[in-house]
Amino acid sequence: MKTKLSWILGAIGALAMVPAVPGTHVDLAAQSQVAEGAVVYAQNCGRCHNARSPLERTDREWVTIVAHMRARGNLTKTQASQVLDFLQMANGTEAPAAPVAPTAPVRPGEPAAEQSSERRVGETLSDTDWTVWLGTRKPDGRLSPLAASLVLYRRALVALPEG
Amino acid sequence: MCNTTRALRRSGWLAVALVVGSAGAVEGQQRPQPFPLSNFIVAGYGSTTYDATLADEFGNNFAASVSPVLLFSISNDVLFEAELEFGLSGELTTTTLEYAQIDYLGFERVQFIAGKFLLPFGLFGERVHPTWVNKLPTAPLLFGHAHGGVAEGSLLPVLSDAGLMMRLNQPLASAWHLDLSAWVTQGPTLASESGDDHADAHDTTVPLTAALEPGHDEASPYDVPQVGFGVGFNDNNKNKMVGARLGLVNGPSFEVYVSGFHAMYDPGNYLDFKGGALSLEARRAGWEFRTEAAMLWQEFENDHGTFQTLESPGYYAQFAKRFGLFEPVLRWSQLLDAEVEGEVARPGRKDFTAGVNYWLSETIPLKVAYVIDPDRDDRVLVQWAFGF
Repeated sequence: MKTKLSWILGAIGALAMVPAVPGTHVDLAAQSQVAEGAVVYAQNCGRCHNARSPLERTDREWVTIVAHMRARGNLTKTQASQVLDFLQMANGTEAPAAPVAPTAPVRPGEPAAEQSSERRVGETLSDTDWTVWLGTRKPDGRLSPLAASLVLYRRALVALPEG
Repeated sequence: MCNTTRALRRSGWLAVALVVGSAGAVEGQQRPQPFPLSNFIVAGYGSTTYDATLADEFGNNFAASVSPVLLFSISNDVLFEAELEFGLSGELTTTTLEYAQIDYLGFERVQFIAGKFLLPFGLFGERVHPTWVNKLPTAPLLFGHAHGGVAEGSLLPVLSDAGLMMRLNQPLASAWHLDLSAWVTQGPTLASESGDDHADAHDTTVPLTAALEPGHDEASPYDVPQVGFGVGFNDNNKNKMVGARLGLVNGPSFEVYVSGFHAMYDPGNYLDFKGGALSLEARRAGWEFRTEAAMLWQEFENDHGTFQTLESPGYYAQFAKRFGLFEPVLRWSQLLDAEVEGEVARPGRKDFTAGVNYWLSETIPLKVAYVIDPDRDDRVLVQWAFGF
């Protein structure tokens, strides 16, 4: 139960990581893909060996490594794609430009529809809050590779100048 | 030659050059760009091991190995992967091609693999044998790690053979899914026919003989030939090995598999070689439990010209629990008596291994283990393994 909760929290944490630039608005589809990838990563990438840190590889290297792991772990194509998106987002290297969420056309005289699907990134939580929330802090206080990579990524987000 | 003729000849050559050059340029524009070299990766693992047998008459050995894994994404759907193993043990340097395969990953739930690959029989050989993944410095007696495809002291080596394989992942309800692997390969051969250069050095054709039973005046020898897997790329008969592994998996917390294979291993296609295995893994809150049991049935021709079957069972159970950076591990491993029609043909073996791992990082364990072996001398092993 505790393990399942940490997967779900990890997925929510991954949702908050997208996109790379603070204040950029993205659609939920991309966030969902990364969140699913975090769940698949948590469920499969520690079955045989300790889960590897997303920081180990660049985006392009993860393409090949994930293909290798898909063959080894017999993942589906969708699962491999989701894990790849998660690892490429979490590794702290150059992130792809985030698409702008489509807005509904506003008719004259009518108020604009609320953009309820839009999120802002990098707000509110401290490093400690993040790692506790994600459930990835070990009993001795040290961070798992996943938590360490997320902390570094978040710090990079916060350090970026406002766009 | 008149100037007009010379001019025509020069212009002719110039025209030819222009045509050839432009054709080459056009072809270059149409030729697909070479695949980026950054899609070629060298990963892998290695280890250094100190193995000390506690009895004075046996030596203490250092060993080292490195196994580079070569990965190349030919496209998004095609992957080439290969693993080599270079080992140093005593005075010998060994080289093994663990696998060299092409994977087609274009379908959603199905993969096709061709080449030489690790056979999905049980879990240890196909998934857990790399030194940085295996939680102890030694392999269980059931699935020993041996070079040249021939088991040394274990029931089976890490099985690797050349052929074709299909893998299927069928999602079920919730986090459950079916995991199916089915393969057809060249199959085992008589180890003496392998032509492996290491065969003589490691005396792989020693016949198995029965242990002396209490009350008997003499042993009853059974000359059962030793088989090798993937020791060469020449099939010794028309028969192909077929096998499959079917599993039920629930996320990381529970997995259960049943595996089996069948082959003929002699040139005349008379002698059966079959195997079956049951594997189970469970994980919860930092602890991990794995157990596997396997049975081999090997047909052989006795001195009287009749066929008999050697039955060889074995199993192991392993428990590990992570406490921060430390991880104690316990493993009980046993090969039961191998029997021919109820008569012991080869005595069993068992050992109990207790170890502690210190994880310098998630891919670099320092392992210390003590092996209690009732039939042989106890051993202490220290291994530093690394995955990269």
